[in-house]
Amino acid sequence: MKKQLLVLGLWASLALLISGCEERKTSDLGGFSLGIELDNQGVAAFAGEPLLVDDGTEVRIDELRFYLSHLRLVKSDSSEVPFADYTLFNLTKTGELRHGFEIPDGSYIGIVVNLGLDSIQNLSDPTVFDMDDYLSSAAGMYWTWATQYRFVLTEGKANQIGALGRPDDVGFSYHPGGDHLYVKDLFFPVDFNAAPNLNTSLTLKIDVQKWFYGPEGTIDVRTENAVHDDPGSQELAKRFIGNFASSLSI
Amino acid sequence: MGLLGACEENSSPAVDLGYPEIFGAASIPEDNPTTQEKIALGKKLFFDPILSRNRDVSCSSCHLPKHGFADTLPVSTGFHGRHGERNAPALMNLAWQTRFNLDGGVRSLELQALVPLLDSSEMASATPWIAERLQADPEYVELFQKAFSRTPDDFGLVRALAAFQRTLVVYGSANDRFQRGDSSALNTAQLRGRALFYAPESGCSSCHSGVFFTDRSYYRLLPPKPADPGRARITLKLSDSGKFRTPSLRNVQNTWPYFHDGRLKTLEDVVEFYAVGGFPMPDSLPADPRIRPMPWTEQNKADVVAFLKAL
Repeated sequence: MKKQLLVLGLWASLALLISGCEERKTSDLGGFSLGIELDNQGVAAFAGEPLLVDDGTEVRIDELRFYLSHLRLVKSDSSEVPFADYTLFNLTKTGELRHGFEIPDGSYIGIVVNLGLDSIQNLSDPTVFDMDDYLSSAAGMYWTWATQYRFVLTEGKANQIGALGRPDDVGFSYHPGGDHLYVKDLFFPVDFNAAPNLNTSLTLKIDVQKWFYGPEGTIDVRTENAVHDDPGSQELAKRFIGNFASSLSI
Repeated sequence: MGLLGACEENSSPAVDLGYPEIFGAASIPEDNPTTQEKIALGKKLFFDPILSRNRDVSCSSCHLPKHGFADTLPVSTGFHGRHGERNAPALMNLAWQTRFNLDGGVRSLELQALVPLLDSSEMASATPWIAERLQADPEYVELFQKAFSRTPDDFGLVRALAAFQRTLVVYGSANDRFQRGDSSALNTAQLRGRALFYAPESGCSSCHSGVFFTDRSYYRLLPPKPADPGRARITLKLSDSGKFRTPSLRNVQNTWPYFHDGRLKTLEDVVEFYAVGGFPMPDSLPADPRIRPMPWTEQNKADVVAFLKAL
């Protein structure tokens, strides 16, 4: 019996040593964080505050959440290093404004992401995830009635300059989602080295004006103010998601 | 980011619910075999307003057991007195159904439970709140442990509700007895109605077909409303606007009012609707071509109603 206990003890010590080695290896990885910030033509902007989007219109962003998936870094030799399957950014939730990632040491020249979720992620059962997982129903992005996810959720108000906050504000609510709106391979040039104990902070800027005056066309927020998963708003959904993708930069 | 798999499933044996053979194989997901523990938990949850935001609405508030687990209101009253767009459907024989909601947008009975829980015009709840409430209740903690070997959460919640709903079976009607060879099960009026129902020129049985009296397809019978595009919300095709799934006719006499928005109160109203060829429709989105006037007499209509009451 004593001999058996000794063997067990030796195995336990070995296991601890092995797990300790693994931990040390993990901590040797480089780190970086990716956050989001609102921006309006190069000027910092904030949720809940008026933003001038053209000569006559101001908007206020009350909610903004969006998924990025298949996030990877590009090395100087053009090889790609995946660092997350998916993540959710939430402009109004402190813990989801910036996410940290561990990556191998090296020199990186770009980040590539997809906007939204791929068709398999989009078919996920939200109840199989922990509540703190971004694919759980607690993230507030799951469309129960369509059993899939919104890719972007943004809501707010719009009005003429100086009139925002009055009773005649127009509410907007853009909730595009669906496999046909998945935007692949958005590339952002970066230039940083990853090494142990060296943390780089990168920020994804979101230029709100491009949502309404982007490459996919103009959106008049006062009349084109709702995108949901219905056939009537699909053309607007495509325009919005395309403009939203173009509004991102690092 | 944790995936919670079926490996945590409790190992209680699946129960034989004695489903009618004529219904064929039930659609029960591999990760949610029906057990007595899940049924007991699901039943308690179904009748408990703890699931709703204000603790004032339960599943059974809109799915009334006396009425085939349907509602007697055209559209039910939910959180803060809000109303949705659709009549609460009967919850019978769901074990054989594979798509849920009247537009077919939901792909499992388990995931269907999330729809009313999170809908702002129904229970207006959120899964973290519900989990927190259930975890604070020792009885629920025990029931979730027994059913799923885990603390209360949305995983067990939706699976328990589905398990309970799969016990809701309606079978053994006068027409079932007639089908099994009891020639006295239907009276004369019902027999005449049956003949009209199955007559090719009436078209009733072309959609209300099979043992459940539904082909599970989607048709447009009423002028589409912008607020509820029906099947088009799922397919994103404008041509599907206003289409809804053919409902089962089993136990139909108890599941009034009728149609997806509950606009027709009685079976007599429904038969009259079909007899006159439906309502005026927009040229761009006509009704299904089988909706056309039929030369039914008052007696014919009464006979069809009598047959429907025998289903």
